[in-house]
Amino acid sequence: MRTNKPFLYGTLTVLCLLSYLTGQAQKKYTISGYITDAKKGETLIGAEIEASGTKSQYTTSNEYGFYSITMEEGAYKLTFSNLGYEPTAENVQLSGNTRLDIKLREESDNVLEGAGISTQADNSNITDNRMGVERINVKEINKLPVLFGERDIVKAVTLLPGVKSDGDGSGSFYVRGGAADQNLVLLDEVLVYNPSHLLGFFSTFNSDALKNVTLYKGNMPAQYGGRLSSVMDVQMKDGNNQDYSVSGGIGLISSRLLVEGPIVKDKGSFMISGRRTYADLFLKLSNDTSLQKTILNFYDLNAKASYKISDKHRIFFSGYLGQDNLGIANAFGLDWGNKTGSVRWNYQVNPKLFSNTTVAYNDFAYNVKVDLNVFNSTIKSRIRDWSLKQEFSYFLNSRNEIKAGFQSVYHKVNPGSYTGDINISDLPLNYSWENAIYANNTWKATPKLTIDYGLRVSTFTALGGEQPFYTLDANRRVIDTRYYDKGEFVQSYINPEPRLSANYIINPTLAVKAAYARNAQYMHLLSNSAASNPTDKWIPTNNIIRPERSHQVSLGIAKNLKDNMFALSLEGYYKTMDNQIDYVEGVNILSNDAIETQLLYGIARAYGAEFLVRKNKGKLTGWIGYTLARTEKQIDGINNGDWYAARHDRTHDISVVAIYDVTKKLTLSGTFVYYTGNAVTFPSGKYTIDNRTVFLYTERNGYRMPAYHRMDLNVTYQLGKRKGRWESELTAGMFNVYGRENAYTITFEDDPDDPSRTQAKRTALFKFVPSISYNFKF
Amino acid sequence: MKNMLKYTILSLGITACITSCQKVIDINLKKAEQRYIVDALITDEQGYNFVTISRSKPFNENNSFERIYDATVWIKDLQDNISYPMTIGTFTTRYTNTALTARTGNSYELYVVIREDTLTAVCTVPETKVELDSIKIELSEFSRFLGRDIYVGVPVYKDPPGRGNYYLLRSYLNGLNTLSASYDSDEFIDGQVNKSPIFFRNINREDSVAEFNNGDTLSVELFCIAKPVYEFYFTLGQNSSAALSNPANPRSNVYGKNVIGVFNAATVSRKSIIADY
Repeated sequence: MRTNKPFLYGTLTVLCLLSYLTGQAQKKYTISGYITDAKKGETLIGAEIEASGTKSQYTTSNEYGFYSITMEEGAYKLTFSNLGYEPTAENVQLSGNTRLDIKLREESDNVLEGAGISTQADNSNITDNRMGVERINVKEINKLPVLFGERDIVKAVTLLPGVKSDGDGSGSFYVRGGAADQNLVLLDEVLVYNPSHLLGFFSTFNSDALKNVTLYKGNMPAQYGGRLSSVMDVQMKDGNNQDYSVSGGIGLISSRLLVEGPIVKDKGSFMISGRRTYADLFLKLSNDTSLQKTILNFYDLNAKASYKISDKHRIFFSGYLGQDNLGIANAFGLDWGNKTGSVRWNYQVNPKLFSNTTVAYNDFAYNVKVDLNVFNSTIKSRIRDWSLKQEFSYFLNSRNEIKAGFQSVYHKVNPGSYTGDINISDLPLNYSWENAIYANNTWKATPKLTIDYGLRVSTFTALGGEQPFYTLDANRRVIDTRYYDKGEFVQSYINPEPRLSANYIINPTLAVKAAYARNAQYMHLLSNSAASNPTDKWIPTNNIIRPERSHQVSLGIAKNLKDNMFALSLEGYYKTMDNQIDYVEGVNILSNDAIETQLLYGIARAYGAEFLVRKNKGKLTGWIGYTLARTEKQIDGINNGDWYAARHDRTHDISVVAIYDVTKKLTLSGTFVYYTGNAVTFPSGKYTIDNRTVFLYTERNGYRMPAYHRMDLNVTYQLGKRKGRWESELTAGMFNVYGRENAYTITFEDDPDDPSRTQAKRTALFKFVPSISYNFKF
Repeated sequence: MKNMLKYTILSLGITACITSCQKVIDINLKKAEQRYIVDALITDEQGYNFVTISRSKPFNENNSFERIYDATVWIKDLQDNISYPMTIGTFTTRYTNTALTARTGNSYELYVVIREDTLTAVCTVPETKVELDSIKIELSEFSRFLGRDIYVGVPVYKDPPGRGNYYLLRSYLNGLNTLSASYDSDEFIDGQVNKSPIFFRNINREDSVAEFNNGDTLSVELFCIAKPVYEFYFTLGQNSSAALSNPANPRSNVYGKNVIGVFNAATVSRKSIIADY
């Protein structure tokens, strides 16, 4: 798709001018402050603030729970609300800048209401100026049935329309036709390279430690960038700054423990949460000696501390450590893990200006070990990023809220270093530098129309150092190899990424939305495996590998019924992507020869419609989502250069989620998913050569896997409060309750019982998997 | 908590019983246009050469593949400019020429005419010939964690220093070659002695045809092959791997209409041993 760039930038300029002109100067003052949970002191993100009086106004708290609202002098009634909390109202006589910190009480604190029963629902889906955004309620997700009882936000996200899972045993997710590596996964503002445990069976996020999860399906605001398809912004709990508390759970394959408490009451808090699996204990029960000696486990640790230095300064320290271990005895091993850490400093410069500075580090590494007498070797591979992000939120006036900032990331990739019997030299380290500046304005043009527009300009520079830069001929053969001095700028790219999102409220229960976004991506994941594999290669952009870019336009409508009890939405999108990368057919991914000689490039397009009905209050809550979509690729050298369905192309995808509060103590939940099969490459013939039967392929992804469907059920029973503050609950669930054998893979082989024939064999992974866990809190 | 423990153990038991389940299924697969399948080998040993031509067929039919015996087949030495007609003898089912000896460093052209179709290939015999030194039988380290003694047969040869050597190993158990060839490059073993086994004793591999007993004769042919030939065998090896998201046809070095195949001009050396462990 070609875009009319002058038109686009012209539009942005006009918008800027309009926003400026409409914000006339009058006697105005600002009310600002933090919104927190009354019991724990946890800041509340996205809480709504509505002012009624001389003029009505509306805003939401930011990712640090801070809000700022500027209004003309006068009397106002301010209403503060957040889903799952009791709304509270304050009368304010505005005659000067006012600081107003608000504490909201959780609904379940009120004994009259049943625990967990939602009694209120708002119309934030109507008023939200962004589209394709899903704010995930971690509490709600904790009630959903999951495999082995391991709560998993990634699995829950895949139940939303526009987001696809990769079937059983995969932690990857695909948003609006984007690939698995096109999701920006942030944990407290730090990028997580590999968000899955045990080859994708579990997500790296221990949901105990999480406060808030927001998913942007492609139309992300300008402060996010670096990935084409989506942003999953995950925030950890700050920890209780009022009182110490311990919570945990004992499950079938893992146990968890979380400790939180004040460092200094009202001022500082900490939270430490750990999880350890013991999946390999099952294998010890096996009769097979080699299974008994199999190592299969992971652990993760989340830690966070925050401290309020003064009313104006806050500081946050966040850390994550996750490690997976796979192996057979001590002979073979594959271990990998993510480490992330960040320090953030919030500075409220004045009531209208809020600043956040983030310094972050992340490290993803894997090691492959072979330890035999005849052969002993270790291969280590690692990616490290150091980053700095500065962001200002300027609450200019009642109509404009500006966010502007910059981000700088230094990438250091170590593709492989060898020790032991492999006597080849280490692969050269790869250095690169990614930068972006951005500005975004949320402009309330009229009470009904909100336009959110912004521009991000990103750059990427491949730096000189150890790594060679190749020149290839038309047949992808290396014809020249050059080295540059360390730190020298070898190749730079710049990409302006305009973003636009508009919302028009027709009436309080009906709104139409439209959005456009351009995104660029500079780090690429190469995979040739059917399952997500930690050893898949992350490669940075260089002189040959170009930045991936996308355009996405989307249109939508949101409608609420019965006093916001039901929320309906329909969104459609069309997306194009260029500089898409794939391996040549028959690639040798283990080879260390120039990777550039093994790659092909092309374009992709994705389009679809997403339908969602949500029931937000009452004893029964939940949603039904349906996606109709298509994702295609065209790559020179694959499928004769013709368009073909991407592997994650899936035509129909339905998910049903229901949570039913039977009594105050008993909650039932269930999910049902149905989707038509992914595109897959199957043989269309066979032949014999070299004493074996070989399969003949004619086209890429020309077949479909069988349809997938599954139902899971879960029951949660509150065991009641015993002496003191002890609370506990028992959760039991069944994954795949009717035992559907969903195809994980379909393989082709000679029939072992009749070598004169070939057969197709389906492997299914999980059916009737029960789980039980016991959770406690005191 | 006592009950908890009881239920946990019960659930553990149930879960342990659930392993992945496999089932043979019917799939409606398309019928691709037939391909010619060419397997051609010439070596530096006089008369040790062959060309076979067969055809592909639909997946759901049986495994007896049509062979083509009425093709015209030539191999030409492009340096010496001599052509060798390849013919099917009275007792053979393959096209051969008893006079042909491939020379190291020379390039050869394969030329096949089947009715109106022409297939061609060019391959160069590697400059350096690596000799197979011996085959040794040793106790495998797998024994350590499989809990039983496993013996392996290892072909011993030394890779010359410097990258760019490629190998194909064909194994014979009591004179019969039933296994697929194995292949290797010197990327990770440059200048070293090979340690990878070919034969296994008592390991219950799926291809149990490789298992040997005391007194069996193990023989190995070591071919030094050109890079395109290695790429053919490497990609052939990936052809039906379930772990790959994009299975593909092997990278052929024979060209023409509707053809998949390999033309391997190689050096060969061989050794045998009688198993005694």
